[in-house]
Amino acid sequence: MAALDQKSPNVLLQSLCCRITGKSEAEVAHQFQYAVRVVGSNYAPTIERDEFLVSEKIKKELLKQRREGDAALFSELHRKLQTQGVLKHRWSVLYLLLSLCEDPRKPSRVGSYGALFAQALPRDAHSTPFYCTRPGSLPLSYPERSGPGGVQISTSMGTSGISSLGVYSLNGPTPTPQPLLAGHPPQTAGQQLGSRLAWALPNSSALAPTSRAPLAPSPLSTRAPRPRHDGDLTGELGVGEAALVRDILYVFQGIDGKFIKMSNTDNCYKIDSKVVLCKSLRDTSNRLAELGWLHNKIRKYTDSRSLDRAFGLVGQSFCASLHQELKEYYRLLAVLHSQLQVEDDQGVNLGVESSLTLRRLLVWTYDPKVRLKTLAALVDFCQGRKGGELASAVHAYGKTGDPQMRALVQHILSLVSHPILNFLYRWIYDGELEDTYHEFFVASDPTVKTDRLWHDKYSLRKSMIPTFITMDQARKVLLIGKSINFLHQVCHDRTSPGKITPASKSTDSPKDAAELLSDLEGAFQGKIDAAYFETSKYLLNVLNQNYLLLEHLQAMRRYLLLGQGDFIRHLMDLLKPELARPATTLYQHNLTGILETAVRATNAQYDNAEILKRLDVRLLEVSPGDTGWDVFSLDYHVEGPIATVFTRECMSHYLRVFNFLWRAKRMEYILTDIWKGQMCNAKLLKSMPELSGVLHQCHILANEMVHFIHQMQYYITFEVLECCWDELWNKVEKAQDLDHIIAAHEGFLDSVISRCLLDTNSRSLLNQLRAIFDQIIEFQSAQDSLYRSALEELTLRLQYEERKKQRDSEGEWGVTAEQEAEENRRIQEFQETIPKMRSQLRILTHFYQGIVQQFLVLIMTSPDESLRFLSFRLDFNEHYRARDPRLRASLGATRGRRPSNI
Amino acid sequence: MASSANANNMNAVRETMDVLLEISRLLNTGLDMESLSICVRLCEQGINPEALSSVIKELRKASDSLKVRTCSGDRDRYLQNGVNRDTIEQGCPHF
Repeated sequence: MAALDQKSPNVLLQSLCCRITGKSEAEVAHQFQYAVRVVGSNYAPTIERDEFLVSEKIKKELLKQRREGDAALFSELHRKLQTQGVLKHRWSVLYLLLSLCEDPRKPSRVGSYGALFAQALPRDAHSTPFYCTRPGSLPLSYPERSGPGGVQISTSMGTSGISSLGVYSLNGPTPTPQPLLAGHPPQTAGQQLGSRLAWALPNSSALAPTSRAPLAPSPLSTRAPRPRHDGDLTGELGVGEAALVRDILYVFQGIDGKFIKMSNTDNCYKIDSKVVLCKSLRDTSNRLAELGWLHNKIRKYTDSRSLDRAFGLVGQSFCASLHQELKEYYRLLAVLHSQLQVEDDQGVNLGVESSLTLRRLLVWTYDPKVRLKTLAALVDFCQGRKGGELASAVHAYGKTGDPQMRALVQHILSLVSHPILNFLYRWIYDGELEDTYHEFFVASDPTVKTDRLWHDKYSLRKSMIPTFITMDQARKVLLIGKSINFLHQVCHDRTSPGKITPASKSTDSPKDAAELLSDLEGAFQGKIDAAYFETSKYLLNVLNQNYLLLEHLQAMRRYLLLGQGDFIRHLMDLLKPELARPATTLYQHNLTGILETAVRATNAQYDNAEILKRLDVRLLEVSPGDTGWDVFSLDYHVEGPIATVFTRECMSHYLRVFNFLWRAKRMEYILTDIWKGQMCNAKLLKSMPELSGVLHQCHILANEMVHFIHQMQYYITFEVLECCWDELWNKVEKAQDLDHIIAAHEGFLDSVISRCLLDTNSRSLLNQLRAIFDQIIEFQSAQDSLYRSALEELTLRLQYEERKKQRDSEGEWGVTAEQEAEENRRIQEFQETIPKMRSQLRILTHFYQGIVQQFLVLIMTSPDESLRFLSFRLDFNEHYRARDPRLRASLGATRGRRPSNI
Repeated sequence: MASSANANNMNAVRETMDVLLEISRLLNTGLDMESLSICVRLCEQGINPEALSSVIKELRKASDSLKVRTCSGDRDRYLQNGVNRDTIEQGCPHF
């Protein structure tokens, strides 16, 4: 300075011109003129002379370019400058340097704004100095559409665009026409804030920005240069656009602005009626305010839900995903806001090109609005739901044709279903259910104890089944977890589930959940099926090998259903004298002893000890007048896992059937005895010809009864028990899981009961049968008394003959007259009793036949086919039919006929 | 004494200029030493830095566009008339 400061500014200017343009003095005459004019006209700067501010700006600028080291360096240099104290106008030098500052990473500039200067030049040539031109009269710069990318003049704009934001914000949207035109590589370098704005606009979605060509700003490129009216007319029309823009930015966040406030009655944003606004502005603001309304709605939902403790994991992840979306939205708002800030900083000088207008906001917020609309609709739909229901609701929204919306909803769905799938995998592979908020579709009832674990403890919560999981899959899932728990708790089998099913990786991240959701039919189903097969197979193995389930099933058949014939026969033989006594005199231990004897003496002794130790005697309740036969029953103890299949109801069914079968067997037994008696006594009583009629009657009746019982036994044994058992066994062998076995078993018992006439429909039949049995017993006792008196008579007569012979041999008269008279009298008496016996027997026969006929009629009209065929067998020679007109209708004709028609 | 003072002054000045050059390099202004010194002098004399910077930018732009424009005659004519090809395309009013 010492040597140079004598030069006048003009000289300096000229030399500067020469220096920069690199031309000789003559050629830069024009520029020099211009420079002089510019410099001379604007003596007072329009900005503050604040060195601190400038240096801060420089630092900010450097930081914007992410050169923190350089910023530190600059601070150092600045400090040095300050200490040196050579310069007097430090701030102006710094300001100058700052204004000439260029970002090295800045994208090569489109649009030579030389147009601006070219126009400014002539203007200046006339009279209007550069800075006096109203911003309004400057046309907006138009992007240079030169073909080959042009010479990207990398100088900044003519405005004092110190903050590159102002420049780049315009630069932001404008590069887009280039890619549209010439395949110019998109300006990816230098993510300045402004260009970030352009990217941020369509990227204010949660989608990973896959395409670099933003969709929204194409309308921007068609922006024709237009003079800005609105900014100028602040005073005259009430509220200017800038103020409105500011307000709108607040409204976007849900905060009431100065002019636009939330009206709770109408539930919308309303512009204060006192404010004077032109119609277009009003309409545009209304449209923009919708965004704020949507935002509020979503925000309200997430806020209220975050306070709700019982919302559960699914709900929380839903809120988190909403939050994520809102974050992107806020990012957009922040960008817009910073735009506004910059304008404030720069004042009006920034000119038209970079400020926010309502129209720009409209366009830029179009995509976010669509997204927010989707989210708001989702929020509406999901009000009050949680858990699986929430996931179903979100899934329902995914069925849309709009790919953006679908992508958004899919993303949310994957986040939301992640906890559910976690639950599912833990349940399938570990059998654990940690569901404090009742969101999962498997519910566990903690009050149920282990013996009812299989049946009652776990159930499906139908409302919580997400719609992307079918009912079949849900049932399988329930079954798998149930099996694992069953194994752990009831079977005490502690093998880790990892051995049962090779556990594939569970959903660790929402990405896995998304993948799974996209392939529900294949991968998911495959996983569930694999787990199902393995677990069930393992469970059945454990049950069969450790707990001998199938053996027990067969043992039931043998003992309770009278399958083991020799054992039952022997038992009955042994029990006969005991059970003839009245019921009250029976003791259980006696009977148990007899049972043991029977077991040891027959083939039953070779059975598995496990089975034999469960066999026991049970005495039913005693009613007055019962004999032992009425209260006796066998029993089979079950416990542990077996009790799951043989539940208490099943056992009671078994006992009923046993009762029935035992009675039938007893009848058979009785008739056998009767027959034996008849055979023995027939020979003996041959000598009493008067008895032959009675005996004949007895024999006939006995034969009838034998035939009847024989057919009943055939029916019971072959048509009922064997068939049902065969079916059951087939099903059990083919069973894939425990549920199948349980179902098959219950079906077996149901069919046995209904066909043994034990269910409620066949009550009348059963009563008839009981009546028949009673008749048989009566007959037995009648026959017994008959034989007793007959045999007594026989012995007396034989004695008489004996005595006669003896006397003869002794030489006396065989019989004396009075002895003979006495004998004759006795015989007479005896013979008088015979008609009584005959009539008794006749009554018995008649009664018996009546009951059988009734039974036959009932059977003929029963819906069960095998019963109808039983009637055919019972009446094979139409013996009953001849007696009863009701039975005369043939079998074919009664099919479908009501009994009342007969 | 004056010479030492002068020498000190010179040193200080040189240092200052160095610092300023460094800053200018940091800020990537594109100014070389001589231009920078001219600018500094102008600023010290009270010139409005805004105006000065706009001038410099304009000069640079003009010089670049001068390099681009290959048609020799048009160049001067354009500059004199202040009409840019772009403005014709835009149909903007020009003077």
